[in-house]
Amino acid sequence: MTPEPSIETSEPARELAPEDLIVAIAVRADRDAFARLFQLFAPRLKSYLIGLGTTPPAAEELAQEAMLSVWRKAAFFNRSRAGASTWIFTIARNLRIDAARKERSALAYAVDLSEEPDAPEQPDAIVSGAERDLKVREALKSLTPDQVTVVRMSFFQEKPHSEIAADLGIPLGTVKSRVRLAMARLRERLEELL
Amino acid sequence: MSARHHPADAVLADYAAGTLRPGFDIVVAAHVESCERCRRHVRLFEKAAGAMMSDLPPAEMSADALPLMLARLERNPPAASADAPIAPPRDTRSLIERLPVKRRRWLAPGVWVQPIDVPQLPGDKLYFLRVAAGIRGLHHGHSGPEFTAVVSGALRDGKTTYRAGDFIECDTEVVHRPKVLAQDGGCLCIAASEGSLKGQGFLGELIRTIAGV
Ligand SMILES: [Zn+2]
Repeated sequence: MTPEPSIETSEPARELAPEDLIVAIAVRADRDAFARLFQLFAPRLKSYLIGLGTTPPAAEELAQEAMLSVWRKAAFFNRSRAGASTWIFTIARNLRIDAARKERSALAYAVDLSEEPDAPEQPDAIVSGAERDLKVREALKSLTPDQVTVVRMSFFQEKPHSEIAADLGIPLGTVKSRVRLAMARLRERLEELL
Repeated sequence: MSARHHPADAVLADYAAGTLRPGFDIVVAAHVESCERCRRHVRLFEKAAGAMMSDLPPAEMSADALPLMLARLERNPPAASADAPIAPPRDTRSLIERLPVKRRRWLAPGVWVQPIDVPQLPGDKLYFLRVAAGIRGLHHGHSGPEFTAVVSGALRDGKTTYRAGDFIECDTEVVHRPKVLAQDGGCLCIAASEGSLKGQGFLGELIRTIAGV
């Protein structure tokens, strides 16, 4: 390891919010900030990828790729648009889609929403990533436990509804209507809160 | 032009999570690209998925994961936002224009189909279909789910009219007899269907009927 001291930071990286860590990377290529961010997110990205059927070694490699993108693209991070967790999630999601299709160009056919601002921006009311995550949790609390389960399964397990039905021991039609209701409810609550 | 028929929340959620079937996600993307409402909703679901991802129980990383990662940083300096673009200039054409296509096949006078050349699951189909005004398909059901987005023109199914930008999700329980409306000289759609020997679909049956395949 190069013992490059990247310590012009006035506060220890450990106490910064993830959004601040990304900014520290953007403004001064702060390796300590990156290391902290890596420890926070890489294991969760790996967990996310394994849930979607990626093998653990491939999941670790993809998580590394995603974190390398975070390092390289930090200057493009816009905290008024997305929190750190959302930004990092979309990077990993895109890499996964790309890898799953074994074609580097696959992503060229996605629609890039990353440059778009959120609905009418209110500069004095910029919600921090942490606050936003809190609101998402609040929105999830308005769902029934059954609904939260199907939302989680939809996001983090690439399973056909028929398999979810078998896992939960309920009819396929019930799963379908439960997913439909849960996602509609979640979206309505998010619209109110975010 | 604002669409009146949108993908269900559950479909947009899967799109945001990146878990839609390959090919089907492209039809959703074609709609999302032209639909302000659905772009907003996709961003909401991305926020939900991002927050939930950061709450997942951490997986165990290899012991040398962080040192390996830090070593890679040396060779990959962060991009400066202004002067060093890390990607080639963005292709500003619409998704529809960017999709690589195979040869157009005329199935009948006024009807052609053009497969789209992107990675898909075996047997799945993703294609453009162009049908001249006034052509009508037979009543039909579905052997599997199918997504369709109207690119231009309009078609009617029963009492519902689908226009440019509209999204149509079909599953096996629905019976259709779509008719292409006489305006703008026909209707161009992009559609994805699941592989099946029957190969039916909202428009698929229209093709089968016309072409006798
Ligand atoms: Zn829409």
